[in-house]
Amino acid sequence: MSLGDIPIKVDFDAGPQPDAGLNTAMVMALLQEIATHLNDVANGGERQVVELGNLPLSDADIVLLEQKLGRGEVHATVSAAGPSEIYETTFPGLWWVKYFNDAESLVSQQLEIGPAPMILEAHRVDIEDSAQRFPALFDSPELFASPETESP
Amino acid sequence: MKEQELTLGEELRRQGISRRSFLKFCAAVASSMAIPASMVPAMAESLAKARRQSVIWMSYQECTGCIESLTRSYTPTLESMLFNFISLDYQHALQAAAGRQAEDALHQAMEDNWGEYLVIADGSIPLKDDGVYSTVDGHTNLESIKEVAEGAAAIIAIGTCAAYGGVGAAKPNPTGAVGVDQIITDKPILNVPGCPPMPEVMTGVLTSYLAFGRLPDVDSKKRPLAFFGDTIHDRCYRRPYYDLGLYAKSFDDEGARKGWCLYELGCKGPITYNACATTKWNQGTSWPVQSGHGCIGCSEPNFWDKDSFYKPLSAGQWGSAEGIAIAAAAGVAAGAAAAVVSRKHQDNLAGGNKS
Repeated sequence: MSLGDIPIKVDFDAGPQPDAGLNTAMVMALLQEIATHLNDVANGGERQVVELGNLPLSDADIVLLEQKLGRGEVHATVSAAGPSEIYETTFPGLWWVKYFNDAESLVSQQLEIGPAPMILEAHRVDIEDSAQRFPALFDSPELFASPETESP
Repeated sequence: MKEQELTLGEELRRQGISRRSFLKFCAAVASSMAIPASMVPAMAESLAKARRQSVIWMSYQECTGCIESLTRSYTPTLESMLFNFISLDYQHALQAAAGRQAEDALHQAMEDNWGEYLVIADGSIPLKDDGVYSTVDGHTNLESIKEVAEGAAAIIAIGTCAAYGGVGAAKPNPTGAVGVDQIITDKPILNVPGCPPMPEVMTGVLTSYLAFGRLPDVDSKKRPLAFFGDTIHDRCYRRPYYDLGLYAKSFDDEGARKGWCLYELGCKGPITYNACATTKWNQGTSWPVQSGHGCIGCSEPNFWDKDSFYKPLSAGQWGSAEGIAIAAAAGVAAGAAAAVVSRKHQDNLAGGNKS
């Protein structure tokens, strides 16, 4: 068989991409998994994370999932090593977390089940650093300026 | 304090970078390596305590495709690895130094980090005629790998060539090319095959080495299970059509466009272990099967010599035993029937595409 035998034609109006418009059975399986995690966390269990990037979800699956989970009360953006977008779904405790890299392309997309997503919490080491740096504020000259000395 | 004496956490703190960056970085890597998300905080902790890792990259009989691929990594990016986590002390294509300076840098790095540096090798190593077919700085690749391996903590063989001989070892293998583990037997070796390997697999393996201080768990071909634990077929979005017995009959026919299974067009997905189906290529844009072409099995040993990329598994040398066993194990009557049909179809294709 030579290259010439491979039946290829280029058609730029070939219609929908193979990955679009078709739902797989994955969404149902995923919803079942989330239900289990929500139950666990509701009963005091540890935080759970479901990585969406590892699942064979079609684009249509993601859209369907977004529709079903909806958007709730909280929406947050974190600026650390590129932006991260977090929102709570209509189910409190079920968070949709999107990590972007510096070029703002999506690197990881996760569903996190717990009181708050881990990326929102400040790390103890960073809080220690704050505690060290904070007293420097006491030396701010503005703090010593009284209204009397400022007025002419 | 010298830069290499600081932990990565201290180094980044000096740049005003918070632990959130570590957490995010680890979350992204953990996700691609199927590391449970519950381990991410611990992974971030230990990565912050690690020190900058010396990496020595040796290039042998290779095409530079592996490093080209690595520079396209986006999660994490190669830049973030280089700026924050590793010290790439020797790499032909990327380093500024050349000639004697470059070779001196190699030996300096080996001396400074003896017993602790990580060797990455790409390309096969020729053994025939004392290895004269590939030399750098007057030394054969065979001498070179033995020399750098001696002081290495571990070796990562990048690409199908360094792992199994690859293209260089394709019949009739004129240079007697072999993979690294045919020569070095007393060091931990990890294979990251692929032609080229996936960029995120390379950076993911490096990160996990930094965070956990050891190479990840591997399969029988020394590949990291995190990325090579499933076949392409297991994770393929066209898989539901295989189960339904719906197959594309020629490239770009109606079925192919609808996303039907490419088995009959020669897809090697059922017996190829790699992460393409979920990690995808070019920042998650697409991957071969999504663009309509079957998997060619580039992360498997000797993929060049296993007959046509366009013969169904059931007809080629790939499938003679293992492939058919797997197709049967799928337990789908439609699939098994299709294997028979596909042989007929293949005969038609081979006979000049008159089907």
